[in-house]
Amino acid sequence: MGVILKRTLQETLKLSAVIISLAAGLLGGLVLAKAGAVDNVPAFSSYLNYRLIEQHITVFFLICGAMLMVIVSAVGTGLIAGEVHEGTFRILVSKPNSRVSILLGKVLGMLIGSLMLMVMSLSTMYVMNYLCGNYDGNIFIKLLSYFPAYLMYGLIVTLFFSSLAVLLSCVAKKRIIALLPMLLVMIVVLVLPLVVRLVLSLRGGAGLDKLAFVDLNYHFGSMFRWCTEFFGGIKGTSGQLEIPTLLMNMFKQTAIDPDIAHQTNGAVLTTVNDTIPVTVLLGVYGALTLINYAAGFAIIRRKDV
Amino acid sequence: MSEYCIVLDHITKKFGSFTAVDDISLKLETGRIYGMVGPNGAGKSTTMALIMGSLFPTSGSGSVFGHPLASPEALKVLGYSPEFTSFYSDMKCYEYLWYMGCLSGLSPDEAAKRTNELLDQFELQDHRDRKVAKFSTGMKKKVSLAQAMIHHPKMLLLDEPTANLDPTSRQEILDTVRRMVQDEHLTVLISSHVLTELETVISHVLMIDHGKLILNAPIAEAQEMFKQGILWVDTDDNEKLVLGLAGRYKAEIVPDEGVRITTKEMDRLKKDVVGLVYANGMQLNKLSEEVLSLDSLYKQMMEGEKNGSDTEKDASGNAEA
Repeated sequence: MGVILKRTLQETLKLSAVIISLAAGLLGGLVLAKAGAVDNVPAFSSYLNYRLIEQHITVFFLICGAMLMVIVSAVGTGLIAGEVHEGTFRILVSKPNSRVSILLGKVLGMLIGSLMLMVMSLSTMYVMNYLCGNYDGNIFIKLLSYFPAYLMYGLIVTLFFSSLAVLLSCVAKKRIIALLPMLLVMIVVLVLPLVVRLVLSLRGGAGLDKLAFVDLNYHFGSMFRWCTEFFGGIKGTSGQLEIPTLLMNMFKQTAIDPDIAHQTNGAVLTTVNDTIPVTVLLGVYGALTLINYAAGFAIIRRKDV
Repeated sequence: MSEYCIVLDHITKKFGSFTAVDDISLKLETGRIYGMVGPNGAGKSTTMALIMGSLFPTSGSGSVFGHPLASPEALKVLGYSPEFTSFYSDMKCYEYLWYMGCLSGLSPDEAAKRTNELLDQFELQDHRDRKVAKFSTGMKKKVSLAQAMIHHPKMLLLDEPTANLDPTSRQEILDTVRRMVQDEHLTVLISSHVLTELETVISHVLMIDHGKLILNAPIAEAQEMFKQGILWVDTDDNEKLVLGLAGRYKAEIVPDEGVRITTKEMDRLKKDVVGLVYANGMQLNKLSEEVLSLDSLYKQMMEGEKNGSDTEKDASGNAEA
């Protein structure tokens, strides 16, 4: 298993993936540094909140969102299906290892590699933000204190999406066949609900609570919030938090009742709600992750190659 | 430890409605070289894949040296070289064999040592740092054989080891197999449809057609079993010879070759031919007995199968009528 783990780790950390992770970190760091360079600096706590919101959004969308999901999906779907398609899996199963240990080695290699890429990307983001952002030291230390929260959330994202990718990889006989449903899932459950949420919000907010059940942005936003709250969370004003909460419930509103719709410029923007408690979401996604992995391992044990 | 290296017990493999392997039962003894022959699509590769555990049987069971098919214990004693070996595009020859050694349970040092031994044995040392994916077909076959041998298996399964090779490379691969078998005292199951080559290597023949095992016998016994008895005779008056044998034997003149006579009673035929030549004062230029080749045996078996199935079809047709 060890040798398969090492090989998969090498494949996960191949040059293209490292470049993508560094690019995401560089881009995130530059965007944050530029956004942080404001002339009219408000009070310390208010300024810190702005910077934290920007950093959370950057990490949520760019690093743990686009970068990590793309890499995990690409590597995960190729773990078995790629080798089956290329014909190397037949030789692999002819060696005296159980199929479970082969898949376990591959999964662990991918998970370790993905987390290393995330650390690389986050570190680059912080370094770029620090070098180009001209921050007060206290602000930067506060920004840095959320690093473990991002790792925690990144682990949740990696585990769930890798389980889905591994399951598809165990079923499919070609990497592309496994990758397409993965992309479809991302579009249907990540992008589409976002559009629907915006439309429903602008049309009065009715139905938003029901959308929460199928909106992965909402679910992952809630779990992101749960991770960051371990390290203090953000106590911002409603004005500061409108957009992120409109998007996916990333931050906890404190200025208004979270179950009450609020208005800005005459239009109902959002209903910040706790329709689904985070503990339930963590339980459901944890169970789904286990089911996906268990199904993947069960399939590979009896798969004809 | 089982006295049989491979036991298959009523094993069947279906892909949807297509039956690739149909109720095959066999026992292979250790220390022998078995040749598996049959036309394309007969079920040879599927049978090998079932033994290797890369395919799972629809029904039936089997064992390898007493261990269940596909178990790590069974795989530990088997070395497998598939018909088309795929290699990792980024791996160099040494790296690939070392990786295969580690996968086979050798320690990194043992794998390195064994890799060097095999690179020497297969004359690949000069190519150790080249990517295997860019090797010629013949060299890829050698690497495929080397990876099958990396963990000192007790039995080798070689699926069409000479397919798509030029005659020189084919001979080279077969010589290598022969040498390996002698040096390492291996049991080998080798499949091929290049029958003339197989008969120089194998001691037993397994013939498969339409997923069924139709022959399992030592090659000499198989040849004897299907011996039609062919005698080639050439005299200065072949027409008189054919006339003299008419009614008793099937004899035909083959231009530039002589007279081809077939019988199941070879000793009697030889006496009759010599008697006829002596009695008619003919000059005898050639008298030779033809040994049945694996190729001829294969054709006879396949024709027999075809006739058998035609007969079955006729019979069922008549029954329906």
